[in-house]
Order: sequence, then C-alpha cells, then structure tokens
Amino acid sequence: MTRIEDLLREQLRSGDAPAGPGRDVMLARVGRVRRRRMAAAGAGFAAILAAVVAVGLSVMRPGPSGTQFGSDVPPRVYTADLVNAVFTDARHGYVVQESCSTDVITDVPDDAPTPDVHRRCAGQLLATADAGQTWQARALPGDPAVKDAAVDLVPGHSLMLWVDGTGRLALGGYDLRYWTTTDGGATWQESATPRDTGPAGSLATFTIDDRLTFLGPPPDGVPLKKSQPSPAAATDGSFWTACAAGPCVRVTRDHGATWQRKSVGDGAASVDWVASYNGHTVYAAVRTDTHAQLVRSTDGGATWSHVLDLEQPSANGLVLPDGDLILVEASDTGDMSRLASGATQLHELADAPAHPSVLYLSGGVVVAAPASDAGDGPELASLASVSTDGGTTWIAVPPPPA
Amino acid sequence: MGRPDFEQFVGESLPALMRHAHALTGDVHAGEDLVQDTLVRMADVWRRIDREGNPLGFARTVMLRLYLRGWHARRRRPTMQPLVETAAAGDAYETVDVRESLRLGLAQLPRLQRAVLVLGYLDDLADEDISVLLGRRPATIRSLRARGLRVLRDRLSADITDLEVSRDTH
Repeated sequence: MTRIEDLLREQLRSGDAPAGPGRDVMLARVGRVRRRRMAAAGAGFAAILAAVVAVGLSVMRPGPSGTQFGSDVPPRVYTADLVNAVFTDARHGYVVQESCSTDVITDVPDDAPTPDVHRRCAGQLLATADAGQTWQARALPGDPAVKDAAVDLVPGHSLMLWVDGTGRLALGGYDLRYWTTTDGGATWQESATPRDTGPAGSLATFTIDDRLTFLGPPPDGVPLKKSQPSPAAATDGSFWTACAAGPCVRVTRDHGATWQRKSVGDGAASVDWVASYNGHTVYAAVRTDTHAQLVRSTDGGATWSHVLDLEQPSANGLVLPDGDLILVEASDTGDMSRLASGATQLHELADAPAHPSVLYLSGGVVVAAPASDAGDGPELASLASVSTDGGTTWIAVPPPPA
Repeated sequence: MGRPDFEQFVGESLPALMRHAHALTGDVHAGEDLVQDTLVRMADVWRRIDREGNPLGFARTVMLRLYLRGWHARRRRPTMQPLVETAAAGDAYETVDVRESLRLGLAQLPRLQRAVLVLGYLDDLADEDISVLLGRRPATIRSLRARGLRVLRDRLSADITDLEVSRDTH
C-alpha cells in the first residue's frame, strides 16, 4: 500500500463530510422538484397516460418464459445523452444521440459472486430537411465516441459530429476513426487517416460554422471555467471565454497564439459566461459580491457597461445573428429569456425548454438541451430542442430509442 | 419489522448519501444537488425499490450513473474557491495542507477517474467490482486508478515539498 493511497482513503473517509440539509429540508426539496415536474408535464398528460397504459399492458403480459415485470427481471437504469446537433443551414439538421440501459445491482449477499452487469448502448442519427418539423433516422457508420475520444468532450455539444474542412458532415468514432457523408447521412465513407486531434496541449473547439479548430490554451493554466466549458466562437474569428477566476474575460483573435485579458469593469467579482456573435458586441454575465448582473461591450471588450441586474445568476447565454441575446437562468426552473439588441428589459421565452445545460447556435438554428436524461424506464424525455426563430417557438427532437 | 417508507429511508441514509455525493463532486452544494436528483428519481419508483430491497444500493447506483452521464449541479450559488497557500516545511498545518492539496487534486480529475478512486478508496471495491459497475474492463479501471493517483501524487509533491510521497505502486 503506498502513502498516497493511505492519504486518499483517509481523506475520503474523514469526518469532514458535509452535514448537508436535514431530512425535512431534503424531502421538501425533492417534493418541490417533483411537483414542478408534474406541472410541466400537465400539458402532455393525456398522451403520457395513453403511453403508460400501453406500456403497462405490455409489461404485465407474461413473456416467453412466463415472467412478469417486477418479479425476476432485474431492474435497469436507462440513460440518454445528446452527442451533438449540427445544422448545415436553417432547414437541414443532424442530431446524434445515444441511449444506454444498465443493470442495477441490488441485494447481493456478501458471500455471493459478483453478478454480471449488462450494459447496452445504441447510437442514433436523426436528420431533418424541414427545420426540425420532421426527423428521419439514418444509419450510423459506427458508434460515436462519447468518451476517451482524444479530445475534450462537452456533453450535448461534443466534437464527434462536425463539418470538415471541405464542408462535409463528419462523424467521429473510437480509436480516432471518422466518416464523412456528402448525401445527408444516407451513405458514409471512412477516412483513410485518423482524425486530427490537434497539437499537444491545444484546445479543440467549434468555429461559428461547426468546423473543428484547435486553439492555443490561455496562459493561466486553467483554460476554461466550468460554467463555460467551450469558448464562444464569433464570426470575426475571435473566441471568448470567461476567466477561471476574477472579473475578466479572455479573447483570442489569432487562434490562441495570444489571449487578451479584458476586465469587465469595477464592482464585478467573477464572470459566469461571455458571449458574442460578431466579436464586436459582447455580453457577459457577472457576479458582484451581492448580486448578478448582465454587462455589455460594444467595442470588442475594451469597455463595458451595465445592462441590467439579474434576479438569479445566469447559467448560459447566446448572442443571435440579429444581436439579440438569449439567457438561461441558473435556478431550479432554468427559465430562458430574450434581450432585444440594445434593450434593457428581458422577455421570458415561455415555450423554451426548461433548464438546458447546453445552448448553442448551429446554422442559424438555436439548440438547447439538458444534454442527458436518466430514469428507471426506457421512455426517457426528449433531449434536444431547436428553434428557428430565435427562441420564440421550439421543436423537441425525438428522444433516442430505448 | 416493516420496510422503511421513503421519508424514513431519506432520514436514515442521508448522511451516507451526502458523504458519497461529496466525495464524487468535491463540492458541498453540488453534492446536495446530486443527492436531491438521486432522491427525486427514487421517489418516482419507490414502491418498486421498496419491493426489491436494498434502496441504499439502488441510490448509490443511480447517483453514480447521474454523476457520470453528464449531470450538472444547478449552480444556484456562487462557487467559493478557498485560498491556496503553501505551508512552510514541517509546520503545524502540514496535515491540513495535505488534505487541501488532495481535495484540489481530486477536483482536477476527470469524472471517471474520480469515480474509480471514490469506489476504490471510499467503498473499498476491488478493481474487478468497479469494472463491472462502470462497464469497463479491469485493465481500464487499473489504468484510470493509476492515472488518478499519479495526478494526486504529483500535486502533493508540488505543494508539500518535504512530504514523503512514495512513488511505489502495487
């Protein structure tokens, strides 16, 4: 046993684990989330009820071996993940998702052998040619790499589906394999060479038009803040990221060869995210010691001015081609709002999906998604939603099949 | 003796779940959020869990899956970053600094590496058991564990200059 292992064991088992909320507080929080979820689901209650009845009838019917659900069928956990969504124009879009089901180990006696845990995963490619109104499943040439992919992956917006240098849609697989298609995913050709993972230490990210690029990392050694896991790309070729610590943003206009540090002004303590469409008008969500604010620069980050105070900190922001801004509230509800260009008042986007953890623009289409979902049944919720009108109306992409 | 209802289960297992969530996330508030999301999912299917037994095992599995599959804390609160200072050699706060270095080192690790270390050194699971739980080969688990330990060892060596940190592996 090495010293480091002893120290780690001692650390993890030490008595300083947080007390956390008490039972009553935690139960109240759980109840609140469930009530909110039930209210949100109210609109689709009739459809869900019909589905539940259908599923219930099917699982209660004895299977080939005469077993029934809940008796000797092992429980499973079902998960669904959005890999990425790419729109090559306002009408043509592609979404890669993955669903998995895994055995849940329950009640294993101490002297029993370790049970087998079965895990099944399936990738799915959906394509639309009518701006998301309808979607068709296309065959994937291989499983999209969702881990150990040699480049950093952002859940919901991973570099596994991109547009290559010649404008072809590309799909990355394991072991650096990748395929390209020129007919909307109907047929795929495997590349003879492994995918480019960039220079050592570089930061792989998307350009504004979903192409893959590699940036030199910022010089502070902590390139990206957790609240903004990917740099925001702008049409002028600049890339923006919130400083990991301190009231500043960083911008590079030479693909990371140099990064400029831009202070967002006095009074701010930290920056949650920074966003820009053209590299000239830039928004940042900042926190002071007492509250959250939105600030704006109209000179490429040189100077900043206060736009409005936020009731809640903001989890995400996206500047649209027309200069409007979409914000996601960092709250239990995760509401989405829109700020018209030059305005100082937010307008709630009532039809927007709640609580997206990723929000990005692809081909002029806004994509919002919680990135993943999990449950004890195979019928998981839709992950991605897309909007072609700047967030006013949204279309849910069908969830991956169980 | 009857089976515990959901409220009773939460009361009895909350400290254990908080410890597990804190070990995985490394953050008090994120840990609370992870426990909350785990319990929300359990509440949905409590009758089935109750019928099949071992709700704590179910909770830990759900929590692990949530954590590994892109789960994010709701970021309701600003993240507080403690000041990091290097202790003078041999001073009385060296133990505290070791703990802080380990905490920061754990926070640097990718989720899968961190989960492997938590399962191995908090739950005492063997690599083979962890491989089953995570659906990876035992060799992958060994590799993840070794990489995670190497990061922690390097971090400690850099922060605590006079601390003997063995580079032996077994």
